[in-house]
Amino acid sequence: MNKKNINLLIFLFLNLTVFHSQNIEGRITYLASAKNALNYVQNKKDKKHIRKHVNEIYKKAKDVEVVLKFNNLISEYYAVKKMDLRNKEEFNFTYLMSGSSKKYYTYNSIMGYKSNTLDCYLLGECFLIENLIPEWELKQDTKTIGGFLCYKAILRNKKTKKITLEAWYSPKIPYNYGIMDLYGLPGMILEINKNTLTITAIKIELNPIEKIIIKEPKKIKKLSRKEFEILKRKSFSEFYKK
Amino acid sequence: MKKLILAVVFVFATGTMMNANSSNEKEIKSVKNAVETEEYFGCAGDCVRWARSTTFEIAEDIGEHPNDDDMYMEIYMRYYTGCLRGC
Repeated sequence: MNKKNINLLIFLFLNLTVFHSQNIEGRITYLASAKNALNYVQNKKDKKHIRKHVNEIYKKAKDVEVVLKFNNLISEYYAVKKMDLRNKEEFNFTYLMSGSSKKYYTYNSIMGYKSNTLDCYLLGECFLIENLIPEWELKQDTKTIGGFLCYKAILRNKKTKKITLEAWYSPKIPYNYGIMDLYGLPGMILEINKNTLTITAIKIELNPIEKIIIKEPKKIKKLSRKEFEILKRKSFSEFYKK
Repeated sequence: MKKLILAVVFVFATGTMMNANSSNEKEIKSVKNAVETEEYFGCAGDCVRWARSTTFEIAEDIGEHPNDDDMYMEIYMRYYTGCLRGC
């Protein structure tokens, strides 16, 4: 074995050691709220009936707790509150907007971060669907959330270029995990703001006494983003009909 | 030979009679005039339209298109199935 190979092996070993020694685990509890949605209650003349219904949805929305559990290899995100499925009027908009019955898993490896959504509702059986990393735009703005200094990042609508989402992340928690399928920022996401929804960290527990247990989904069919899009368009042709 | 000629004449005569066609017969038209109808799927169809419009309206408030996020498909399905229960 020549000198170059030995150096390479030492480099890889050190990398692995550093990677695994960064072993912070924890649980973040967020509060999802759609109170901002009330600012969007509108009176449209052309869609009076639909608008009236959407306004009611916003008014009836109730706050929901969501949880992000993580360690150095994986994170799991899910909404806590169950919604009442008996009556369409009882659908909680906040619950739907903050992940609903889905679970989001983000994996950390030497190759980088990867994310999947576990969805057992939409296509009638459980699938692990690939989430692509969002195209973040990092900003210099700062604010403190739960004692952690956070930086701002935004997402824009690809066509209109308008800002559709604002995220606040803390590099002090050195993982690229986040809320739902939002990941890939240089620090943990502690808050997101959309026009009608806000999800903010209300409790941050790092290295708690009780061990963080994350049950990784196994034996579930994986779908790439492309495969999922094709399946979705087949299953909901009436929705995509122009 | 005479018998054979008679048999041929007989066959020819009957064949001619069978193919004969009266010019008084009216032609029966087998093609009916097509009636254009609009397909109506009843309550289920109304639910699709209602759930779809609601989803588009919610996405518009955020400044997105329903195709931008899988969440909108779930919103659509939840409202559609909820509506269908009331049919």
